Amino acid sequence: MGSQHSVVFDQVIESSVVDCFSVRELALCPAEAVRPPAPYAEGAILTFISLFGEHLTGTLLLAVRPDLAEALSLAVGPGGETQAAHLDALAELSNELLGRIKNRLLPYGVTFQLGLPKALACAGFWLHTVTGETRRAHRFTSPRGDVWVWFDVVVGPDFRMLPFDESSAKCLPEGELVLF
Amino acid sequence: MGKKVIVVDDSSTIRRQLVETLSGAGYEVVEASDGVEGARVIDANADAAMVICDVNMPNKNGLEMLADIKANGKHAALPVVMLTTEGDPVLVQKAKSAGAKGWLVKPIKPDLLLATARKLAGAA
Repeated sequence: MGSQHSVVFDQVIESSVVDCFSVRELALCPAEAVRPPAPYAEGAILTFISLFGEHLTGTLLLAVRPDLAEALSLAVGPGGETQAAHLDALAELSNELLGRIKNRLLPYGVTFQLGLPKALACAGFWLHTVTGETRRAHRFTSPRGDVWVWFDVVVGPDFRMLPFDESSAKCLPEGELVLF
Repeated sequence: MGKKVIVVDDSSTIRRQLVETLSGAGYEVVEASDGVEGARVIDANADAAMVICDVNMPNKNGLEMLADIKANGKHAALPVVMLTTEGDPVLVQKAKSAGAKGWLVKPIKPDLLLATARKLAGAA
């Protein structure tokens, strides 16, 4: 993947992650990634969702501390106390995050389909990316510990990223409604 | 009991959020967790006033479910709003062509959701 693509991907991912958590009233601050990522001593909730398009394929991974996933779940309302609810809350967040990333890449002519998110609780983890790269690991600090995001994507030889053109794809804004 | 709204989403988090908002405003909410169950629930609730349906779901996605229920004449007038993370105009057009009444991009804004319910289903 060319460096120009990486810069756009990085910008889109960073803004999308910050906005996605901001909606849930959690302020994240982008931070320098540590390589290799340190495992969470107190365990982690990890969620992943695949993406696939004509010229790119990969996975988005998101990892947080368990108490952050719990807070996200409890904030929705009654019924959010179980670990299954915590996992679902983070899975849904990753789904929304990848949707935002897709929406924000559309003006660059980049499109893909989303898979279904999965989440699991783990004692710790190490990541081995398809590309063997870890530079697209994004770390964010928050009052509830670090948030990690990986956008692990392989692009095909015909992959092209066009100059930004908002008018080329009139994507509906996040949180908005259109009635027919 | 208020007017009935059917919510179809594979995420229990989203269903909880929708139930919290709609029930709090007086609507009766019936839940389904994928397109297959959604079609069954819609068939079993002829008095439903509105459907809110996710797009990306296992077994049968929201657009497939929409096409199925609109092919059934008895649900032709039932308003269906798609609720999804995506704002892709290609998908929005597909939903419109298949008979959806609206497209709502997450995150859910409770005020906007309730305004939509009141417009399409009527007051609770």
